[in-house]
Amino acid sequence: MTVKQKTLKKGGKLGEVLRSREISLLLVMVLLCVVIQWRSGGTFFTPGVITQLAQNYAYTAVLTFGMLLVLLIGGIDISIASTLAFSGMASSMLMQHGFLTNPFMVFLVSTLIGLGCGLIIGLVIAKGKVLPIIATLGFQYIVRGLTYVISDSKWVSSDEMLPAFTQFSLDSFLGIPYLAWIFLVLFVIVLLVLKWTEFGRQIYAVGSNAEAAKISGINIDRIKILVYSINGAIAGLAGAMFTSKYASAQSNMATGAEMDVIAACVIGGVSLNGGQGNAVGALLGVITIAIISKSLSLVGIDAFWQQALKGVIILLAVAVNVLVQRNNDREVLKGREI
Amino acid sequence: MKKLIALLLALVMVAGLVACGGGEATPTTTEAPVENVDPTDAPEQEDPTDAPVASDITYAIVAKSEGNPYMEKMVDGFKEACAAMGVGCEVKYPATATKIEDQIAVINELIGQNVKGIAIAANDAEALSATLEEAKAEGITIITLDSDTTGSQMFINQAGIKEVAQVLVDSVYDMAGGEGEFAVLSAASTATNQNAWIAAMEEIIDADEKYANLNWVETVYGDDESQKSTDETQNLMNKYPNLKVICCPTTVGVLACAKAVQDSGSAIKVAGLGLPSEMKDYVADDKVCPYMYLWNPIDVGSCAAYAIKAIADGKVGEVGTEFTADNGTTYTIMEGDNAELQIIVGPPFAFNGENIAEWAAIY
Repeated sequence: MTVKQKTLKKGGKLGEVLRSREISLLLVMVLLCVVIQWRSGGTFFTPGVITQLAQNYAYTAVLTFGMLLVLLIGGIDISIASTLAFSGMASSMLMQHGFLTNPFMVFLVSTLIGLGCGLIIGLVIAKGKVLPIIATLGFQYIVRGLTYVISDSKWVSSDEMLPAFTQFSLDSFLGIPYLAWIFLVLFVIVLLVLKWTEFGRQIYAVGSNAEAAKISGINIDRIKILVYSINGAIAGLAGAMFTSKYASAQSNMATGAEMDVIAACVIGGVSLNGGQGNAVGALLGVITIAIISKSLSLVGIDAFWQQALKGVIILLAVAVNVLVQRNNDREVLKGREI
Repeated sequence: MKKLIALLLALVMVAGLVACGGGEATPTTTEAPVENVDPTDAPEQEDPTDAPVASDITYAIVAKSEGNPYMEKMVDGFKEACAAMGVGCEVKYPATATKIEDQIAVINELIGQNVKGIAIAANDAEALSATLEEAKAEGITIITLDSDTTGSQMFINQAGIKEVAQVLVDSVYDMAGGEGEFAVLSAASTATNQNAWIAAMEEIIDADEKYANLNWVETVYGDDESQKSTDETQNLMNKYPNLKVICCPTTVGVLACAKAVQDSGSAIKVAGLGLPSEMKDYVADDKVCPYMYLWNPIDVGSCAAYAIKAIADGKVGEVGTEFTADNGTTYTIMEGDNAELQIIVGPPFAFNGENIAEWAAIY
């Protein structure tokens, strides 16, 4: 679809830019920021708050890129928060008991545990032919339950963690926190893979039309298993980021995080039907979610209304996005020769 | 081929059921050594399911949920007290903390098991009452601990609302140096306990001239999530540059708040209710939280077990009278809000730089 739009080039470069979904989302974001800055009396957009945003929502951003891949192949994974908790808890416990003495190893082990969870989920979905939402609903409970079991319902507290591990989330490089570097690097990788690799194109192919992809010789099961494994690994990485940031591993941590992540993707123009969306959109989507979540209490709205307002803003952002897309599609059709 | 798969699936299910059955049986057998202290007191059981229990009396505790260290400590206290009294002990967890049907199912199960007393940390203030009436009709003593519900005979109150609010206000007053701005970071905006404490704090501050120079700037809600609590703490710091104290009457909130304040390097002090093992790194005179409070969940659990015994023994009288439980402590009987009666375990306990390490090892 993007290829077609490029060949048409109706309305010149400027028209193309204005029609882009990403630009429309950017405009929504700017509007949102102006309102927040005005309502919060100028306290929101300061370098300090932006650093806090990047640190607090780095794990959400990381999860969003994993979810992007899953949604692109037409799947969904609502078990990521459980995978995050399980990997984060297991790696923290290994650190607590002295098996892991290097902070880098904690991140690596947590990622590998997540990879294992994702691989199993991918196998069940691809080989067992279980609907993704059903399979991951099941794993959401199984993995969360296992988190309670391995932790014996206890928490790992900051004094039982490596000082270097908790310090990691506070340090920065070139003025950008390490946690933000993680999601920026991941963003670039996902962007490049989706745009310029065979694997990236196969992901879009499976999501847009699985039958056609199969006929053209793509091993659909392999793509599915790979994507769910990558998503699991990303959730595992997010688990280590979470425990490092909050210096505490709690068995019920990040419960419900999958909803913010799915919302971020949808705001970013990723279709739940698969095959549509990109990394730039997902990045803008998660930034929007982060800004909304962080600023709600700053704009002076009663706590009881904050949840409802969050929902309204999400719907508005999606609505603008859908309208722009519909307009785009129409333009594309207009340009077609009959 | 399909038949084969179906057969395999059926086998797996059967195996799963057997494994689950085995899993359920294990806790009762692990409890057994505690009760088997007195070998003479081991009569034959009519009911084979109760076989490992030495005494024919069993008390049960129903927790709010699994995965909560605070609940676990309460369960531990309950178990210890049961062992000390020589009665059997059964621990049950509902499948979820949010669906009240799960606690109802667990209570029905316990009625079937013929226990003599049940202590429940209720997940709903109303919905359990019908089930509890059934249990009482079977002659089971019903009490509540941690969170109350109607239908309970006695609520074991971890700490009176006023006592908690008083220590919180006093810590704010002390940490702020008698005057200045402070804020409250609570759990969910709908949390019953937290809202009651916050309301009582308002009353105390309004009633006493001593607190006239304290300026309560805002109450925010962190929903007992690390991420949201951190956001709210940082927002408070950005919004009120002169803020002196943040008071968090919630264990998850106080941890996230202390971490966020410490990371920022701000001079703000954190007061509140916290778990010693979680807060070990943050509590000391020169740290972000000079001292904090909590009741002792082990005491709450053990008090519940002794209260069941006291009710069963007919020691508990009218409102306003006192009774002495088997642990030697005397409690004053008060009128309950949801339960018929209530007793207060004791005043909140202060944790500071000197005792935090010792308590962190316990819970």
